[in-house]
Amino acid sequence: MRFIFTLTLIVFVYFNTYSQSGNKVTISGFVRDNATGEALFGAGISIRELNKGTTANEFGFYSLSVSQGVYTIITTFLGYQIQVDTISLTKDIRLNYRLKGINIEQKEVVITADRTKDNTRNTEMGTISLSIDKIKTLPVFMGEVDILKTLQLLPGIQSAGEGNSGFYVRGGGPDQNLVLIDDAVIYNPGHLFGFFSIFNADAINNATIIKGGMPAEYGGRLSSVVNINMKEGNSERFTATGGVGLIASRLTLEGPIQKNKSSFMISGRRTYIDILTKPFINPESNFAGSGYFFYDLNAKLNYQFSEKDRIYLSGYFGRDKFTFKGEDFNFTFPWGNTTATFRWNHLFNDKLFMNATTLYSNYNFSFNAGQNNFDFKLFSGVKDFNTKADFEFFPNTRNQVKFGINYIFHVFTPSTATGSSGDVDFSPEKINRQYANEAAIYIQDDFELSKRIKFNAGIRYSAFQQIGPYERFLENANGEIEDTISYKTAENIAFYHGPEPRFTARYQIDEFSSIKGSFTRTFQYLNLASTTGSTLPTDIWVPSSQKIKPQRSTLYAIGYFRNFLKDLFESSVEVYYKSLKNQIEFEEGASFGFNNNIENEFVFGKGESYGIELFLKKRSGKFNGWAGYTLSYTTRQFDDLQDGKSFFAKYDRRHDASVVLQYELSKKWSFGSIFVFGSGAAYSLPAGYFFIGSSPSFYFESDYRNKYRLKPYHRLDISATYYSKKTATRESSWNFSFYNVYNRYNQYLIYFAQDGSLEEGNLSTKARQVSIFPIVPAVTWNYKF
Amino acid sequence: MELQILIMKPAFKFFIGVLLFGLMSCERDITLDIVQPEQQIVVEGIVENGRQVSVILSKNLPFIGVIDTATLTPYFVNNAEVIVECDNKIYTLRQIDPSFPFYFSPELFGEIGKVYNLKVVVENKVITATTRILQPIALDSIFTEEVENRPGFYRLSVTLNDPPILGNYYRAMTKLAAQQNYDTDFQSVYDDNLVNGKKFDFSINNGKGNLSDTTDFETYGFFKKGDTVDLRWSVITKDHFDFWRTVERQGSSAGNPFSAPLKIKSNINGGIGIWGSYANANYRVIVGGS
Repeated sequence: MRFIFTLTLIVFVYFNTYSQSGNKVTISGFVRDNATGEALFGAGISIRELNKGTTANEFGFYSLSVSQGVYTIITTFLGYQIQVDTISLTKDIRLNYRLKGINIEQKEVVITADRTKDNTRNTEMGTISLSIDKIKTLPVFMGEVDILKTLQLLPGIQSAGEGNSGFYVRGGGPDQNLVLIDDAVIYNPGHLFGFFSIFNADAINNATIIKGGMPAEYGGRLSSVVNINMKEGNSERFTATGGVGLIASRLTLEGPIQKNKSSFMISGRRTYIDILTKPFINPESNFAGSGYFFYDLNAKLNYQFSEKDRIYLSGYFGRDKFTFKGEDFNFTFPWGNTTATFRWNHLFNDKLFMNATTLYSNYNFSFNAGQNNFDFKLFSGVKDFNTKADFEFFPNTRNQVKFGINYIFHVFTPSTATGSSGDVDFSPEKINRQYANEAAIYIQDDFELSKRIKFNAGIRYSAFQQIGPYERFLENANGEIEDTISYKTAENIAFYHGPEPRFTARYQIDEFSSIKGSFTRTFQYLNLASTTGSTLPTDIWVPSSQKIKPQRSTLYAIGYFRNFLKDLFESSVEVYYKSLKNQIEFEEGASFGFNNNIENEFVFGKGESYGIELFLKKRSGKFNGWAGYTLSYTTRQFDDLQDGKSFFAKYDRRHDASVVLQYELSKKWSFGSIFVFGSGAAYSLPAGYFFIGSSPSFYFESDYRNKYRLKPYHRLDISATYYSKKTATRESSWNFSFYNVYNRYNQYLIYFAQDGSLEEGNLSTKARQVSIFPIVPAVTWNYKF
Repeated sequence: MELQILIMKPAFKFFIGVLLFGLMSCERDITLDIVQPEQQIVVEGIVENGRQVSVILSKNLPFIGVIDTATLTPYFVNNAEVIVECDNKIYTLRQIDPSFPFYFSPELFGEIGKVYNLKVVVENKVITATTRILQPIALDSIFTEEVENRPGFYRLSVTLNDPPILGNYYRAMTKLAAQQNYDTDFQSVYDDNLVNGKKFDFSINNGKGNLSDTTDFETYGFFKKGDTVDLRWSVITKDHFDFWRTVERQGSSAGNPFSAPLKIKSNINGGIGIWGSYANANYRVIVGGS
């Protein structure tokens, strides 16, 4: 409490000090796309005479306070025409910008304007924003544009496996990534066992990943933040965007409701391969009667009450459903995410912007099976009610202050089984859900001390409490339940809290280069109980509890950033070291039992990761792209696993490289290619076998974990996009993609298969590799009108 | 989640095999350079009510080519000192055939409720384990029903009245009367997590071990009319249950991309394997009879 009081006092004093500075005037406003009215997150607004500037926040808002005078104001955003205005500033002024997009013929001219030095000047480290339009011309797997797969092409971010949208950031697990859509947490961002992400690119305005130097406004996950914002909806005119692909189709409708006051966006996507394949499935085969599909629905509404107030209501709903109907046995298993976001943007004055948000997130999985007279249902999930208020304060051109407060109520449904056999019902008396409060308060300042030195210092104070009702089962050493503790509603079960300091500093060496360093401490109060390295629908989110201490990470990073050839190229070298505490794994031979406390099956340990990341990007021009390389080491150590000996984590990848190239040949054609190379993933194998009875069982050495490596992974994808029509309002294009062009059989999995039997004297064991995706061609038609 | 892992496999195969038009996915045999495993003593010790206590000792094998019973001979552990202590009495178990590592004592039989401590001394290793024969839990009834659309094939069903206290573990085995040894299904052990304290019916498969590519799913698990079937219904300890649970899960998870490699749980100190007790209830039923 004392901490909160002190923090409030500091904020108060800070405000007063800055608000009273005299002779200053403020220009503020919103930067939006001229054609659609969408906010341009990250647009640059600078004052030539002062060589000072700022960037628009995710709602397009900016604010600059300067002394009175005549200034040249330059507004820029990648892919848009630069706007230059000369303004005499005598009093506070509101300047809203509407930037015009540039087309291909204009691009050569505009390149010079587009060059900014953001990457060397700001204090951000490991933060990359992706332009959705750029992603759309890259090769895509089975015709589906996938933001999470594009992120994997950046240094420090590794794919969780062939064709998988899951990713690991700097040696952290997939559960250590905070994936947000309009601020709502997505607990399982994968469709179809992770082969596709849930993000329909047509519904998305922008995506940003923060892989290090996480600002204080974010918390709750150790490794990264993926912040995805849905489109607001075209406020100028009604448009339809869509596509027909190999496995799915999409349609997005957007337009004004009341011009310049309110607009909407609604977007849907559904796979139909189940329908297409149905006639080809042999009714005699084991697959007859089986089906699978997924769909997504995104919707957003916004309404501007006044210059100062705007509200947004948005939501995501997606489901995967797998069905199997056999003669004797049938099952269905649906899973998916639901989110809802209500935001209120309010401008208290030209310098103080507020975004107040109420959020709902839900992920659930269920499995329903029937055999003879036996019915069985298994379900699990997580649900959040979240509310927060984030403030941005722009006292002057040297400071940009953010502060806020956040509260989340979590409800976790553990893996719960119910069933019935004839008239007998096996439902448990009650579902042993887990409830928790999570709260945080933060403040940070992006502060320019001198021309050369700038830093971003922040602190986040977070707290987490598991509360009743809950039944805690105490086990003996043999894993038998010996006692039960029952907690009453709202009774405290476990309480954790602590400060999370965040600090980044930049030293500007010269006009083109800088050095940055950062220190980040983060807590994570939720854990994903997973048996594999990727997120599966069956994985279960588990809160910190008496037994599970919060995960904690400390990240140190230092980097050299340099632009050259008149800012046409940007490059960086970053070195990082990350230590991880209170990591969880399943104990050896865990039963993954349902209707038990899953926390009884965990063991706890620590980890570390370190590496170097190189990045080179050509920012613009007809021919552009980037190349990234990462060298890293990631280990884990658990006292209760393999006699305490440390082992390489599933997330360990020694070398990881990607080259992404795009070439715009003409108005009609553009081409893309992706090449990836990665050291083989770490995996475990038995060292032999033993016999109990006549059937062999595999024998694992005590230090078997991730001792082997798959063969190096590499793959080339290419694409060509043909624009059959492209005007300011209408567009029709065909994307032809080839995944894995040279048809490499990358190893996906290795296992030992046994044939024959001991009695017949022909028992043999062979190692077998599984490769899942050979060359995969795809064609997608995209349209917009 | 064990079940969840199992259900993911058909879903994945469906995705790979059908959704992608069977274009994708390729399996091929490869050669791997696997380290020679550390040698361990493997214990297969069984204690059952009314039956002789027995222990088989062997060693684990590296991956070698085709195996028959002769290949196994060098991995037998003969001439070990095998001692079982029960009720403060020491029994020495000996081999009948010096070339086959089956150890027993003509005086030592399993008794309900008693604790059996095993000690094996061999090759400078001392191996210990302990177990207890629990109280058997009888089945309420056993019956057979003809399977729909499978004339002549019958399902063997039983009624269990699970005791009210959580933490009972069972194993089911079947054989035809003419067979000498019992077989198990690919999943032969059960806990009472879902069914604690309930009385209910369920079916027990005709045990044939692991499923394979040649398994006929049309008739898998059923018995034929007129078969005389012996059913052994055993109460086992938690560690014995964990052993078979992990053995069976290992068998069903090979080639499954969603399961992690699984080390088998053992209650043997200083070695691997199982010192397992069974509290048996034995039944004989004529399939299709009354």
